[in-house]
Amino acid sequence: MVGIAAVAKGVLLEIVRKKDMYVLLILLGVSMALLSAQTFFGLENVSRYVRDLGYSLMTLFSLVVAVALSARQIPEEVERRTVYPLLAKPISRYGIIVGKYMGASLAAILSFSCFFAVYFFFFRISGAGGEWGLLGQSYLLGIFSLLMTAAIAVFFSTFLTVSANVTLSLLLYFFSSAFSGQVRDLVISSKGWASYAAGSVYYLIPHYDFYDLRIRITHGWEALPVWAVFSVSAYTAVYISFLIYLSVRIFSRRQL
Amino acid sequence: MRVPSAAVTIAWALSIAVLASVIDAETRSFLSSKDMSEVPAAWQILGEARSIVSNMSILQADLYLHGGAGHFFDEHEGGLAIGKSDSHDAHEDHEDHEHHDISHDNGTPAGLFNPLIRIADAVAVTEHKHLSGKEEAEIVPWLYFSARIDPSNTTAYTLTSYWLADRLGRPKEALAFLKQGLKTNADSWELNAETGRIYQQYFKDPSAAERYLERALFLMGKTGHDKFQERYVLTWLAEAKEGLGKHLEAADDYRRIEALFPRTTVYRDKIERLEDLAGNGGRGSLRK
Repeated sequence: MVGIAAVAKGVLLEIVRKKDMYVLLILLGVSMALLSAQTFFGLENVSRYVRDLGYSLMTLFSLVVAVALSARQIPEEVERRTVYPLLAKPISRYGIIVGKYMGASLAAILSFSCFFAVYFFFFRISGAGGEWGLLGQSYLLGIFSLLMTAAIAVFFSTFLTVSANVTLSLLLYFFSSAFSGQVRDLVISSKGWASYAAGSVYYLIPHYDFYDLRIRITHGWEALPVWAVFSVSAYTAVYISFLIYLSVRIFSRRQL
Repeated sequence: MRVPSAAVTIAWALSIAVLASVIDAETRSFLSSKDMSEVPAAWQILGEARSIVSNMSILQADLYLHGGAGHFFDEHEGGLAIGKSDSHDAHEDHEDHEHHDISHDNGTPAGLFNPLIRIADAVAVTEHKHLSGKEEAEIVPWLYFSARIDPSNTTAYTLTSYWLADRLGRPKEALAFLKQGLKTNADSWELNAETGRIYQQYFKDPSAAERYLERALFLMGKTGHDKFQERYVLTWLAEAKEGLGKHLEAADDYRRIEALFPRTTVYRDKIERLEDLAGNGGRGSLRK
């Protein structure tokens, strides 16, 4: 456990020392300030687009940080041969994977929290009401989304190069976000083998659409029912556990 | 197993290219209320980034009007709710669509027993509503961005002017925006027609209205248009001419509309009144 914590701490310190997060944080702040300052034909109380674009930017930046950090952990250790002294310490390959995952997740949560604070500031000054429940849910689901992203990137990192991993992780994110609805419709409308095939795909792909509360926040819809939040939490836990299990299995069998 | 990064990058680029062109072709088809088969093949294959983003921005405005939840495909005849239509007023059907659940598949066994589908349906916004009153201003930024991103997108200018003038009570701003559009789209009959309409409807300036509407009529003769669009221009043109005391010319315009719609009789009275006025030396007004 101490070994896992030490590995995680190393990854967490990486995000603090590097400039990536700070650059994105400044970029988010500047972008939102510019968006908020924009006026349209003298119309007042036009703010939904700020909340909408701000949420999208926050999600995108968090995703970039999570993927970039998680994807390079294992391949860089192997490439630099620093994995050997690491394995010489009293830590198993399982410990390395879990430690790397925990570190990447904590780093992603840290950066997301900073981004969310900026978003929250502009959300409040845009004149939006106090949808505290919905804001809390969007923060929680945002964290779940990053936990999922980090798990996927760590899983890919056990057998892909960094660039391939980043590309595939982002592709998976965008295709899942864009086409989950279509696959859902296919599951419902198709019959026989087509239905089984569509159903399998639907169960297999990570459902980033579960974490996206952009429309609810932008347009002031009500918060999610509690059962839905619990269900998403359970789904995330099961999916991540499975990915980490697979990552450990692959990394344990890998020739270093 | 190691996948070469170059291969993945190529796959990524190809996916984006295919995805973008499909989205663009479908968007253009949707915006113009045409079948996908009518979209030129070159558009379907290549697309154009600026046009894609501009059209997506218009669709975003349409989504905003429905609280981000979208609308039924057959809900609005013109494809978009934000486009004005003689027979449709977004406000009129507000009550009808309130609380209408668009996830009509929820009740099917597949949706009922699939836990992931139940979660997805709970997370997604499925309730249906329209923005109303001052909230309608929320769609304007997307229309503005659409015109700024692709200044040749005349739909963006006409939609923006409609919402500004007709729904938000800002005809001056609408007129200024249309004139900006005319700088880069001088030969657009749509922009000329809208400018003429706003001059006539809001500024009671029939002289300027006639100038723009005549040009719109001339330009639309050189491009594809339907008879409803021609009626739209002719109606405003006739009204402008009537305001200028050109009663016989106005009557001629109404006759042209009658020729387009032979079964309609609503213009007969107007034509006769205008002819009477012309016979009386052009004095008086059609309006009571």
